[in-house]
Amino acid sequence: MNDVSPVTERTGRRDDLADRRAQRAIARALGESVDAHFEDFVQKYQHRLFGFVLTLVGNRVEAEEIAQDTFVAAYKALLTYDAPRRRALALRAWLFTIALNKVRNRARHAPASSLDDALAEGRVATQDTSLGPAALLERDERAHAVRQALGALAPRYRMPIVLRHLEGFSYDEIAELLDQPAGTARANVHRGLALLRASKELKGATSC
Amino acid sequence: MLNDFAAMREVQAPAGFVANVLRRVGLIDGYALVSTPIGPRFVAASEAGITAVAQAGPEAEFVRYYRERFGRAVERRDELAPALQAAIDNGKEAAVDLQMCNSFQRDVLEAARAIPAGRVRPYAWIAERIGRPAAVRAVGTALANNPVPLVIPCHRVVRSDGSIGQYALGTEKKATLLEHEGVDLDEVRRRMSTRDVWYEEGEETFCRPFCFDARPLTPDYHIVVFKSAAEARAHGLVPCTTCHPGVAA
Repeated sequence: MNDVSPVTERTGRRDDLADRRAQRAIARALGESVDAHFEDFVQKYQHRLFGFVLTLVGNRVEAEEIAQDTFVAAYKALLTYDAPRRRALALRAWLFTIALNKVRNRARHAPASSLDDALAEGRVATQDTSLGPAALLERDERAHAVRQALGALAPRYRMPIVLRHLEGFSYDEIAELLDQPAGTARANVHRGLALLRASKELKGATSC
Repeated sequence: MLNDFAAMREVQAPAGFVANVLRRVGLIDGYALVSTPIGPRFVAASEAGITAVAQAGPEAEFVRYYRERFGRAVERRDELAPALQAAIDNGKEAAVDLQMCNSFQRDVLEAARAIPAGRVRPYAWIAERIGRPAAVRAVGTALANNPVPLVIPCHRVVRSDGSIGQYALGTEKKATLLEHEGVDLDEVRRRMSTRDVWYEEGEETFCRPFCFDARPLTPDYHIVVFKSAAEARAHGLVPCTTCHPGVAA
């Protein structure tokens, strides 16, 4: 209950490695030519970035807009970077930093959105053949409830949890992304998970 | 709980997401159907200018060809049709985007662009103009790969002996285009077959035989034939600034 390993570690280190290799390959390609390889970059990260923003803002329309704005801002920034700088980018963290800033700016100018709109949205893909239909439905409902509970959490808990457990960033990376000490990020993740488990949205749901 | 997180990671971005992003940063080019003297064509343009003129056919095939040749996405945008039609009707003013061409190819195409409607020039003339007089074959190849035929009038480049020469779309289409511009192909052949002969056109300039910028050649028009540019100069004539007689043999 106290310490949990991130989801990515359970999905296998090989995936992580392949992912990092793909990330480096795209950064190298962007180093050669932004225009020729930007599409590959968007293809590769569209789902993760959209999912990430959706979890933070809870509204599909708003999430799409922010995710698009993020890629547009990334494109403009890439054009101002020289080739060595583009090649050296840790693309996913860099992209998520831009997205985080956009989410924060939006929150500052608009009332906090609830996750209600997302309840029917963000339905999970059901290619997982190891689960029967009933189990799948149950899993969807659980994910649904967790999403709702996450949305009700204060952003200072929600953001590090999403970065750690949905996106698999290390605490050092989260510290950089959120511009706070790694210890604070770690504490907020743990505190946030505890709040999540105790939240009314997850009360009565199957134990985890 | 961690299982739930795993399920939440499988969210898909909305349909059309990538295209919307690319459109916003100007990385999707647009194309429209345009009519030409040799039939309907797809004409495509980037933000910078016209990128492609190609045979109109199945749209999916054109989109595939475009990606292979230019490494970019393209989508149909009918609102571009009037501007693209104008570019085909009077290509001289239209902006072209030759980003995907190397500098030699660009030089060749820019030189070809300077040939006015209704006139022809030999491949060797282009080679001279771009400062590569020996590269006549390479000029031919560059013209054959012209991504924007009609807008850049590679059909106006013919062989030095006056025969019509190759055309990416076929010799017949080349002839159709030239005749459409009022070029008399027999006359071109007749003039250009006399390679080493210089016509004195008018009062003080002399030209190479293919120079249709000079006054029209009619049977009763007085022509003086010189054996060389030097001979013409000796008669106090100055070389034509369009065809540059005497630049090379």
